[in-house]
Amino acid sequence: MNLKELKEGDSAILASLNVSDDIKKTLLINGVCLGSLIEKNYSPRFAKLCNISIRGKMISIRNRDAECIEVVKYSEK
Amino acid sequence: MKQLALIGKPNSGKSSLFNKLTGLNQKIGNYSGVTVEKKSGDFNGTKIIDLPGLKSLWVDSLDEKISLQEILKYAEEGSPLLFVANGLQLADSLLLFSEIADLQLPIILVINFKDELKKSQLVLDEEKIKNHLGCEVVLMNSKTGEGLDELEKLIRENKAKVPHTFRRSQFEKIDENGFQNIYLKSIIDHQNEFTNEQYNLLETDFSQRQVLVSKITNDVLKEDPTKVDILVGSKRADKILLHPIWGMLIFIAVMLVVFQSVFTLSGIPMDWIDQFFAWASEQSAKISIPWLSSLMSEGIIPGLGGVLIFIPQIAILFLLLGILENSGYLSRISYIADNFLQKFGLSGKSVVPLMSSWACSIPAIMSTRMIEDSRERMAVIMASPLMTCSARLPVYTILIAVMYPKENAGWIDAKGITLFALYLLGVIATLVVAYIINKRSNITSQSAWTLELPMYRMPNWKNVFYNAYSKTKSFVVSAGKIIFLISIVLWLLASFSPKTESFIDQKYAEYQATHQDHASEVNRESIALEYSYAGYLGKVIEPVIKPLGYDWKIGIALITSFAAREVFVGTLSTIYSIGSEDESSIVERLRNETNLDTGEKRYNMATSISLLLFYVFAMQCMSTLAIVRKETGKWKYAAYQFAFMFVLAYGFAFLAYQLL
Repeated sequence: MNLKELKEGDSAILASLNVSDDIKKTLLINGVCLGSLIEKNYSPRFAKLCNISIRGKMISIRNRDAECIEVVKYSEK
Repeated sequence: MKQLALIGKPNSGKSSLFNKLTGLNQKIGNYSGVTVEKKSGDFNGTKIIDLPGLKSLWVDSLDEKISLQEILKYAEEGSPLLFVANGLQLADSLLLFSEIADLQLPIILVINFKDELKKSQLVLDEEKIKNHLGCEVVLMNSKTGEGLDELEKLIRENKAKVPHTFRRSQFEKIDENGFQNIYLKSIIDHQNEFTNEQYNLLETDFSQRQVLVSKITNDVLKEDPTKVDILVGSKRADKILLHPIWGMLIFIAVMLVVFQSVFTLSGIPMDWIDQFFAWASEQSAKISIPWLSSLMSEGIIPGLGGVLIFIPQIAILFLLLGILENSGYLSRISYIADNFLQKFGLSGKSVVPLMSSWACSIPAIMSTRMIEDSRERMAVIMASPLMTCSARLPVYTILIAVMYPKENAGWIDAKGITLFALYLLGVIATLVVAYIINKRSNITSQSAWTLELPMYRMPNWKNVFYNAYSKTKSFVVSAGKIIFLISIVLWLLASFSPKTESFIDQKYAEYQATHQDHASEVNRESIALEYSYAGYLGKVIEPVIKPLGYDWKIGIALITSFAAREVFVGTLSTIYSIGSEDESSIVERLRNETNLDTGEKRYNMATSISLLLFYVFAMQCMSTLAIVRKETGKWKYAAYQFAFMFVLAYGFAFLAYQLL
């Protein structure tokens, strides 16, 4: 599944970044790297942005980029 | 230690710590070859340098490039760094720390927000983290100064140590060229170009660093950091503040409060500044050396006064923007506006510079440094002077008053609607120009975009006030220098004439004889002005501006107001020989001015609208052009901006006059 498909409050591990090189670089320098645990936050539809929490900070990513980020849903159990 | 640079991620509390160490005694300077401010201050004989926040050594924005260059210089010299980490986002801060640690330069690590760590029940084992990192670590609260004594001691005793490496060994190799560190080389090369190889290197490197950092944080924090949600309050607030209805209503209310405050709160201090410069001008008129007295009282003092009067508006705007920024709300404004601005090739990150342009384009253009996308940054630099800055207000106010002689009919009237329409026109023009520049620019656009939404916090008032002061001071210094020079040039043009004094006396006598009805309304100074170099310039451009409905007198005002828009009003006052400072008398005189060619009123509806449109679009601001040159590094952009804004101004003013 991709990052955009996660529901608010869902946690997931980042599995792959199938985005262009410059977007990949921006994500990486913002700490969005493979293996990171993220949580999907409230993301109103009008803004077309996907909000996540990662390592104690909140980041917005454009929906079109979020659709290219593969995640694996994470369950504590 | 002779000097120590502060480095860390944005929002790590670096500025608070800098202020605590230096006691707010910084000096702000532009360093050679760079366009970004670095703050420096003194702490017990050690020079402390505050560098712009950095997300990674693989830098993106102009601000970050400056920090990187400094760090690389420090790495070469082996000079020490003070790394400030956000305790609540320790893993994130340690990612950057790991990159800098691999450069192998001495570091002291400050872990900030001790109080908030405690509130979030996150307990940090200081000894363990020292052992993991191999350098001195201080846990502190930079806001209150808790932990400052320990840090002071470490600085005094020169305890900065080269930390353990994280992944440096992965990038070291010996080949035919000898020993090389590919990591450092890649970072240095990246400043020019980024290759596919580097992208792959970056992805692997960051994943590995993240694993190493997670191991450290899991070990040093006594609670599992993934189980403590420090963001719970901010997430709840975002559900309201980013809501499509409530969020929008709050956004509009906040904007209204900000702009209403800028205009209402600044009224009294602006009057004080106005009175001070009037007094200074009066005093300087008493200087016994005539040329010096004239230069001071008619050139430099009114010139500086015309710009410095806007200090209260600019300071208040910076103060309010600082509160919004410190509280975390400014990023939410960027968030809300992003989707709309994308239609014009901009993003949410353009919101702050564009909003700042309502006060003044100079600080607005300076604040575009935080926009990573070079094309977007250029579009904002080129288009933002079209937003209605506070210097346009005196021009609009006078011309609107001339257009509508009747007093207000209620709380909303034609004057208010016209002013609102001019502001709206400024916004539309900005967005359209930004769109065109984006479409036509050959600067490579960076499609990547992320926005960090910081935690909501109570603003750090000391920082908010200091930053407003520091940015206002920067505006005064940069604009003041240029205005000072322009004032001298304009004074020379307006005070000297290619004609003799007797020629002017003769013309004055002729005028009095031929215009007996209006003779008392014209004094010798206005005749002298007509035959001054400025007057000749006005007459030279008269054929060009005649199709817009203007005469040579307006021409002089257009030339002089090239220095700053508000000079237009002052110049017209001089030309029309109005001794009174009373604004209504200026308005009355303009209303009664006759066009000698047609016998009609000079400032009729067509000319007034033509002039208003001219000032909506024209780049009548020397200081802004200088800042554009400074920020883009080339005069050609400033020249291009001046040219297209002039074409727009002329075109709209021409259409308005000819069609009305």
